[in-house]
Amino acid sequence: MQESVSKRDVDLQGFLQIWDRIFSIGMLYDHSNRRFMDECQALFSSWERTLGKKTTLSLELGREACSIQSHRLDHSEFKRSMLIQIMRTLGIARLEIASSISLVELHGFVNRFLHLKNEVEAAHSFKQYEFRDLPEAIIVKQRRIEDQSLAESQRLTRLELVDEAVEQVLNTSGDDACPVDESITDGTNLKMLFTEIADRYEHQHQSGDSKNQALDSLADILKLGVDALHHGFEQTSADDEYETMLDAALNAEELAGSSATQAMISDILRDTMLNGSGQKGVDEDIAAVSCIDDFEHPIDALLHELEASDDSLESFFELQPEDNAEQLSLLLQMMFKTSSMDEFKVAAGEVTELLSNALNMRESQVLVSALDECLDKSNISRVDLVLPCVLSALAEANSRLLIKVYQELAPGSSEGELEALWPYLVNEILVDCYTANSKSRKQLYRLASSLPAKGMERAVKRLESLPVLVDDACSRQLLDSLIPELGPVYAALLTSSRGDEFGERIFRSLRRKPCEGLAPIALEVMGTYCLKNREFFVCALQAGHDAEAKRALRRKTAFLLREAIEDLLPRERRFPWVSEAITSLGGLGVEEMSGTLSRIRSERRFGLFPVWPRRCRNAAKAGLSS
Amino acid sequence: MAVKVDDIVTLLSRGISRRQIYFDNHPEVIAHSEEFTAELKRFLDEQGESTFFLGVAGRQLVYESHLLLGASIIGCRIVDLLQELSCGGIRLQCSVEPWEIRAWFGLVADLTEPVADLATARALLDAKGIRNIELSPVYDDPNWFGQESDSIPHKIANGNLSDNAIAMIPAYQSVYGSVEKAHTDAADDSAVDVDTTREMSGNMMKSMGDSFMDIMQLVDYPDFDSYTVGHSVRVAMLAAFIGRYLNAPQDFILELGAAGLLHDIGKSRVPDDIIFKRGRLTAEERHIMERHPEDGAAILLAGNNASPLTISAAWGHHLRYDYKGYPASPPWAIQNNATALLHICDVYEALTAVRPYKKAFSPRRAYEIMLFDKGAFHPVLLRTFISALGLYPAGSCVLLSNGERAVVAKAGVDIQRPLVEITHERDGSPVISRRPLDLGAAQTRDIEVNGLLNAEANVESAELSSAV
Repeated sequence: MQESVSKRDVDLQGFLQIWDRIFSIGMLYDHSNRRFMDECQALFSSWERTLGKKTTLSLELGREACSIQSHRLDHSEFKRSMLIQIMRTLGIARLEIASSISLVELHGFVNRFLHLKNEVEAAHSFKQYEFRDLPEAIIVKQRRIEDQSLAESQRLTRLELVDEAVEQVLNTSGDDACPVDESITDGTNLKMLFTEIADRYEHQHQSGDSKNQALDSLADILKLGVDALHHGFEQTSADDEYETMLDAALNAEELAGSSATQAMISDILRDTMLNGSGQKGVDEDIAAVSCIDDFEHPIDALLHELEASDDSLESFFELQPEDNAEQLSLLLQMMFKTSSMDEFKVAAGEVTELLSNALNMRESQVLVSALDECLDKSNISRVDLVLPCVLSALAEANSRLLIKVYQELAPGSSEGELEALWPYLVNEILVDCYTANSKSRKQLYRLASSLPAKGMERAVKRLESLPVLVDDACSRQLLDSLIPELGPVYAALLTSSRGDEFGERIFRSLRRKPCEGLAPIALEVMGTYCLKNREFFVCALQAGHDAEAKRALRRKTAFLLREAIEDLLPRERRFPWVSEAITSLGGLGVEEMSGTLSRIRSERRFGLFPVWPRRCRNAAKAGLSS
Repeated sequence: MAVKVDDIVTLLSRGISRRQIYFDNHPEVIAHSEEFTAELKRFLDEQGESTFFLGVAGRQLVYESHLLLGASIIGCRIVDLLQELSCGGIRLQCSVEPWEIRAWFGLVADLTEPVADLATARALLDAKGIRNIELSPVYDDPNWFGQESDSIPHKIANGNLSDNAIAMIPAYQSVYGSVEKAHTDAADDSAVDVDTTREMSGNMMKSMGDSFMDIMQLVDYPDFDSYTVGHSVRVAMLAAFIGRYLNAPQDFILELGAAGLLHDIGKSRVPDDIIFKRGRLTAEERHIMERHPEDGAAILLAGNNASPLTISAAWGHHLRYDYKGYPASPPWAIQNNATALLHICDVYEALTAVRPYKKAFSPRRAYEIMLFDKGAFHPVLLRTFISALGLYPAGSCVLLSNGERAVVAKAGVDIQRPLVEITHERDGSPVISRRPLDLGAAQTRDIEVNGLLNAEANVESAELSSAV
């Protein structure tokens, strides 16, 4: 038994595979093409072998299974079958094809159903088709669709369903429509339905339509009625009242038509009614549709959004402004972000090229904002990659933007940001500040000098790699004539690798024009700049900006002078500068010097002879009293 | 999901590209050969076939006498190779082994010049011991694989494409090929030939002429190359279309097109298993993926011949209008409108294209998503884009309320009522010649578009006619 079942499955599978070939070939060839004809011949042979001679193919598709000739099959075996796929896609619950189907009809069926399948699959919303104008040999029963969005309370009662079906059927008859009396609840409407159906069938049969055509029409009508009845019966299978009414209607004397017609209708209806309790077909696959639209907003909402503003793009010019702001923006971002030196260099090269031209306001703003952010992040290593590139590009282009960059960046900077910027600012100031007017120049001097000493000490190390030190490119003018506002900067330079050179120049400049708080005699005493005196000069240069440095300078000067005085040989005490030095010593107001001054004033050899010349003694006396 | 012919062609084409980057025993090549073989077997099993035959007719790939439009474009390299091998097609047996596939990839990768004739090409396969791959004579040979001539359909089913659209296929293939090569070069750390890509874009624009509809039919065809290269081509075409809509000069449209073609060049540095991953990306994978704009800009900069617009497009095409998105942007970052336009085209294409892991959204659904994502897109540009394309973009196949089917020629003033060309009557039969119909005209107010149709829904049966 099991073998024959398996063989049956195999035979049916083979039969369906032949159908697949028909679909493949049928879409490519005309019905009179030999290849198509050959395949059809193979189909009919298999048809006869598998289903029997002159047997209508009957396929049913349920939720979990399908059946051929009521032989239940498992989906997993047949899901690839094109026939099954078409049925599922098009919502066909039952498909019947007569064995007498012609080649033309078969060809038409293949192409039409494939086309419809594609249409449904391509549709973006739910689609269901009404099958009309089918070949005679083909009957289609569609799957029932239930809209689950209907609340339970809204579901029609069984009688309402029947009434609806009756109304639909009767209304299709146009002027001959019979009104449905909704108040009638004794099955009268059912009688009217059956009467109408029978009438239709008789009429078509007598008018010369073939039995098949008449059956087709009947099928359409019955589809409405029977579906409703079936549904109603399903829901009320235990309802004796309903069953009683149905029996009464079927057996009514008023049922029109010939006895043969009545018998046929009765058979069809009874089959339908029995379907739920007798011969079990496949489980009906009811498609539940809860939403047939995948849009979140109605079309009006979409249109409203489109019309929300009158702004429009008039021309392509608005697409691409005529500047390089975007390019500059992304290149700078690349320079800030990339971890590849190769990529950095490429981007830097592009930036250099862009900066070689004058920048408009938008581009300038991008540049300044970008550099500001670069400084803000206090990533010194990144700053030291980006700033030299950008600033040297601006400098090389003689760009007025360069000073603007400093003027924009420096003032609002935190100490950390200023320290990051400081080497470049100082480099720029000392190498060439020609583009700045006096006011803006002084502003930059003050900014450069405002960094605390500790910060400068650290920043000087980074200055070492910039042209002012690497190329010895410091402006001679700025060293030969010291700018008071740059005092702390000069002081910082003394701690650099070229400190001695700077020291010499600064010494000579200070001798020519001492800075505030610096006693010229101190420089006379030193004679020259040396490393030992560096601290003295640092204080001297910072004294104008720093009260502490001023105090320190006085002390250092005092000690310097005292040392020089005390180291004098007796015969050297008469040098003119000595009394000047003693006078300065007194004027410095350093407490520790009072002992020296007293000694100079009072010291006598053998208690009688003054050791120091009169000028020195007078200077000491004056110093003690000041 | 059922394997489709286009999938097989895509895999075959990708295998050829991959072999040109990697050596024969590279894990990528080995893995791909195995994947291809498995998919081929699955396809044949589903079809109930034992062999897979892919033919070439002109510049088109043909499967069972059916024009593979999308595949002809993704597989333009296959077309080139088969022609270089002087053959009309390739037949793969279901018993083909991965090593044979790999050997064939190697054979074609090593080709330096066209083979003299089919016999020589076959000898090359014999020399490698390949038994389950055969090369066929050219298509119009009546003894093609020994089948009787009247069994061979003489006309290839062209679907619903106009003759003009079909004539543009070679140009489209060239564009596709140049973009694919650019991605391959970038992946290989070779210099990207931007000039050639720009030139190809120019050729495409010239072929396009005034008929954007034909382009969009090619552009809109689903199922072909769901991935980066095809996406880039489609983005380029969309951007160029908008440029034309705004009456931009030709050279600017050219730059827009080139920018679109190369905007995703950075993805050549993203591993395939991330690009093609069907599930959600992990945080790490996302981080890698989100680097591609920066990488793309770096690749183009290194090449020295990319225009600022092309570089900006690569960098900024994922930047939102509100400067969210990626790469993370500072407040001073600038995004010009052209880049913003490419962003719109990029997102629209991604939403409306077929992918293996998601369904394609309709244009209306895509517009809905984009319009209601406030801050994402330049508002004026987005409205311009939607007005230019319409609810049913040019090239779309639509079903009218009167049962006729049509192809959209142009968006109308009312985005719901385009200008169309009727292609099929109500009973589904094709028209003899297309009829224009302006749905925006007063006399057609009672006709509406019911919905979009898949282009394949318009595939017709082949008819016996003169040979291709």
